[in-house]
Amino acid sequence: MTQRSIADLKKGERAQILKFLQNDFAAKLHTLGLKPNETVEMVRLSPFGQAMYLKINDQFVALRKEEAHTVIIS
Amino acid sequence: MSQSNTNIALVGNPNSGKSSLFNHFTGLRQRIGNFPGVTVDKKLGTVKVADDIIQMIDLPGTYSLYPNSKDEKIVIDILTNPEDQNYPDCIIYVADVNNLDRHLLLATQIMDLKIPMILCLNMMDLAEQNEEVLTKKLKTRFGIPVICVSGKTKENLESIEQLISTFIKDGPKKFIRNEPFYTLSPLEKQLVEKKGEDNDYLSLLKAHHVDWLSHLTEVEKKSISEKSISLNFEKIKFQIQETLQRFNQFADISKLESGSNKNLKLSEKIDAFITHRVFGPILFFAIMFIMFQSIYAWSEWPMNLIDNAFASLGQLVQDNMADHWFRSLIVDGVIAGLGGILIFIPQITILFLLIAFLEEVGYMSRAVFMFDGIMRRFGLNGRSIVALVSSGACAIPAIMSTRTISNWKERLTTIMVAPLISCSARIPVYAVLVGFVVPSATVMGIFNAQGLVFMGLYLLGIVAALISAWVFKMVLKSEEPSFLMIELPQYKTPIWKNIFYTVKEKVTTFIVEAGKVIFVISIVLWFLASYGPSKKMELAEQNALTEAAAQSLNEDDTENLIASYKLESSYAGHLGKIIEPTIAPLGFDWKMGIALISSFAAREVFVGTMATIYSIGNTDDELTVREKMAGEINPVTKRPVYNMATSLSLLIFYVFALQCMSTLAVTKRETKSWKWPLIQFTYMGILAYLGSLIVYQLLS
Repeated sequence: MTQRSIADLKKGERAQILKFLQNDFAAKLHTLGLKPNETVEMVRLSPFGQAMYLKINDQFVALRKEEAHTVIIS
Repeated sequence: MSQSNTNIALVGNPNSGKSSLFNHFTGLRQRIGNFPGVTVDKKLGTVKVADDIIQMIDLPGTYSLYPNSKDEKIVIDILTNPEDQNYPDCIIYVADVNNLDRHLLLATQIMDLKIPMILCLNMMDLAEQNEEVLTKKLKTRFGIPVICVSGKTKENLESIEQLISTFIKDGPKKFIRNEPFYTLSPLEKQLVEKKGEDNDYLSLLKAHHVDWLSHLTEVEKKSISEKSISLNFEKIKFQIQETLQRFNQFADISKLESGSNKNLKLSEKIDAFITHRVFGPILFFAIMFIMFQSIYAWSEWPMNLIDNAFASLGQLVQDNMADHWFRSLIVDGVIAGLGGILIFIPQITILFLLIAFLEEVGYMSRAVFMFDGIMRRFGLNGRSIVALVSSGACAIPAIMSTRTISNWKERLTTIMVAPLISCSARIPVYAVLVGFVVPSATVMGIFNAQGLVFMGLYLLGIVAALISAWVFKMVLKSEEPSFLMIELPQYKTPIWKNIFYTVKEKVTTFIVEAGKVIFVISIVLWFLASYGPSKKMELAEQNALTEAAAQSLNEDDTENLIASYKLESSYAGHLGKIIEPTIAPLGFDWKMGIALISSFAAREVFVGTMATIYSIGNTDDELTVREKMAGEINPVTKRPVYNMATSLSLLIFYVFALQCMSTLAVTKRETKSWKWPLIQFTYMGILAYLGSLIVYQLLS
């Protein structure tokens, strides 16, 4: 089965972060609270669909779809 | 009372609430300075603690010692350089207790730098649970003073003062943690060994940021770089390893904290509407619409007040000083120039107030989230929306606000197109000219025709900005990655004191930055308009006197006529006539030429210049100017000069042209080269010329 990333999450779906594909993104995402083993909830897409509104550990964070693609979930 | 040399810095993540603490402690004793060499604003103040007066500095918010933006870099630059004049003796670290784990990351990094620290858990008066348990736990774990405070309700802020005074009395020992949080890997150890008195983590950071730290000597840079290469030091990999290792050390504490949180749920509910796919953008435009409406509605009265005040002041000087060139300089140069700047304070204040309010409650990052996708298509970043909105007041603070955009190409593009958004300085010009384009009639029952043209001009500016951005996107090359990755902080009720200080700071910056240039240019303009080749000036005065006698004008009108004739013969008049052939295809005559030249300094000068040209005397009253302009007849065609074609052409010119020296100066400062302001001036000038040409040729 292919790997699923945060970008594949449906609205309201939750998943656990497994690993990060891109180091430069990962370094920044960690400081915003996206770390391995954290649970992510996909809250909604942006009005034009290119960005995602996520909930992680009681915080809200917005990511672009391609940034979300680099975060693999289990 | 003694002046102590103690420097205290407030440090924390963005949205940690540290500005509230800073405003509380320093109050009106705060001022804005500049960090040497960079344009990031430095917020400084003094605080009275027991018998000492200490310096307090509010450093820009940052998430870690691995910065993403220009604002954040300054923090690292200072904290890695004990020689820096701003290097703190002690740090008050402010952490939001609701997002404790993320906020503690930076705290542990700073503790590893061995800088004395007081850890303040800002309760934001939301989480009351386990206050004591948590403080105790962190105190034992970190070995430094930890206190719970509330920036909002001012709870426990006196404990901070007590701790500072202990620090001054007893020294830093109790405020430093000796055990490092991060254990360096063997490779990192090799990298930092034998570095004199620097601590390991400080040396490690120097290796990470060797490319841009300003205080490293060339020798140091070279030796660090060579060592990094020989050891094959992969920066990003170690940065990640360090970050995760730090998080692991307090994961158990922060987990304890996350639980039910009413405000979080409320924020989620609000966002279901505010960032909704359909309602979100509609609401955004509704907010913008109301915002600009209120700017016009609320600023009229204070603007008139300022206008009248300066007119009276001018009159007062006029009446009480002997007729001398010096009086003219004071009245027509200095006072008129100052009035020209200060008249915009009401509009700018209101706009900044509304923007600061939207930022303070947490709305702006939602706008960034919603519009990032669209902004990117045009080569901008979601964060550009903040700059573009601010541009509606004034391009200067807008350009300065682009510092949060880490990608250079996106930031540059935002800077380049921001001045196309109609700023408040264009309003008086639009107000004078719009009446010549359409009558003040009602369209479709509710809309004002002139209001619609106004809106059209604004839209034209926005569309032009987006298209230009797209062109820059195609032309500029960049390999640098672009990010959105933004925190959407919980909504909170605004703290008015914070808004007050933000607005005060921005308005002051505007007055100082723009004021300097406008002031100097007004004096230059005064000279150009008052002086000319002496023979011609004398001749002009005689002609005017003859003409006045022939028409048997009264004293005032004669004065005005002389002024008008003199202006034609002045250096400014000559300049206007020189450029007349160039601007004739746009429908402009030499008089408008003078206005264009003088507007180059600042477009709001237009109305004043028109007043002088049409010899109305010392007035900035838009209505009088407009009546006079309406009566202007073309000597050749015998028809009104300000017909629809000419007026619209002039309006289009003012929409596009970069007639603002201050903007050019700020662009130069922010891009660190004359290249970009020159390109900016040229491309906007071409847009203006072509736009006016097309409009005039089609309509006339």
